[in-house]
Amino acid sequence: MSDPVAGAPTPDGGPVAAARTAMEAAREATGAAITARAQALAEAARLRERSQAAGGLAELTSSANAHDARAARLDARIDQLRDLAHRAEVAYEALRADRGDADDQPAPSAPAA
Amino acid sequence: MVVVIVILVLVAIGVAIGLWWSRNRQQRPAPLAAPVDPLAEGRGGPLEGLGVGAVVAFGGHDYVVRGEIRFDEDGYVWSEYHLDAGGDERTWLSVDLSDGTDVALWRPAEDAGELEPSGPVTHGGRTYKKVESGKARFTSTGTTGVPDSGAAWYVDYKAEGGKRLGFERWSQEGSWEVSTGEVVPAHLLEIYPAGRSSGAGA
Repeated sequence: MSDPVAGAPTPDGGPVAAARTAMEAAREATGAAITARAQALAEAARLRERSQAAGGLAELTSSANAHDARAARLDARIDQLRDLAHRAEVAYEALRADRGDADDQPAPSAPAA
Repeated sequence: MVVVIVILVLVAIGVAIGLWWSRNRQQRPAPLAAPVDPLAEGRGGPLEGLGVGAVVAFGGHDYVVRGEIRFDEDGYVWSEYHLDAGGDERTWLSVDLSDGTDVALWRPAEDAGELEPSGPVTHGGRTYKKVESGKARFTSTGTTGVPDSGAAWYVDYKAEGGKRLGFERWSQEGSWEVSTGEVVPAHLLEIYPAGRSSGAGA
């Protein structure tokens, strides 16, 4: 966005900054979902070990299955969030590139008197 | 009366000196900023957000970063990140930004046996040549399996095709931990940084 009075471009970090914030939030959400899945799988593995050590305690095996199911449900959410993060990154980089093109444009000439 | 006039003159001189000094200080040019490498790894780079609690996606796997060991050998620094993909295998990511971006993925060497870092080493059908060795101070955060701080000894080997072999030990009399590594282009890593609310379950 250029300043028609001064004839020189002014900083326009609004949409770029907002897009970066959105990208970072999407990445953090993806990481959090992946971590939650890893925690669910680790808990399922721990419960299975405990169940085996206890001679196949059904309740522990059932709890392990529940954690596995939770991890499986997170798979779809992770895919959605990963896609969202990629789209946010594409939008952010496109905005940055657009801003760079605008900065490269010659400053508009002063209006004729 | 004369005394009053002298005092007023002295005060005026003092004020004038103060104003001159202040204006002179403002007009003094700011010291030049130190030159900065325009292509150096920094904010927005492919490794931005890498740290304990982050997630690293590579090769179809998602790894949770459980810990970091930061090494310092006389100012030469690098880090190793403990990655957990949910299995029993310990995986490490080494990052060295001192000379470009050097990233490698490490796993325990299979059938390391009695491998020792002396001369060329043959393992897994490859011959590795020694490239460097040393002793570094380290600090550890998160889960790494090593003390919070201490000294580490290392010997690094390389083979063709970006293959690496690494020896590390955490005491001078301890046994060597042997790992095989492969160089990873940093741009192939997808980093999902730890959130500000990391630690809360989904």
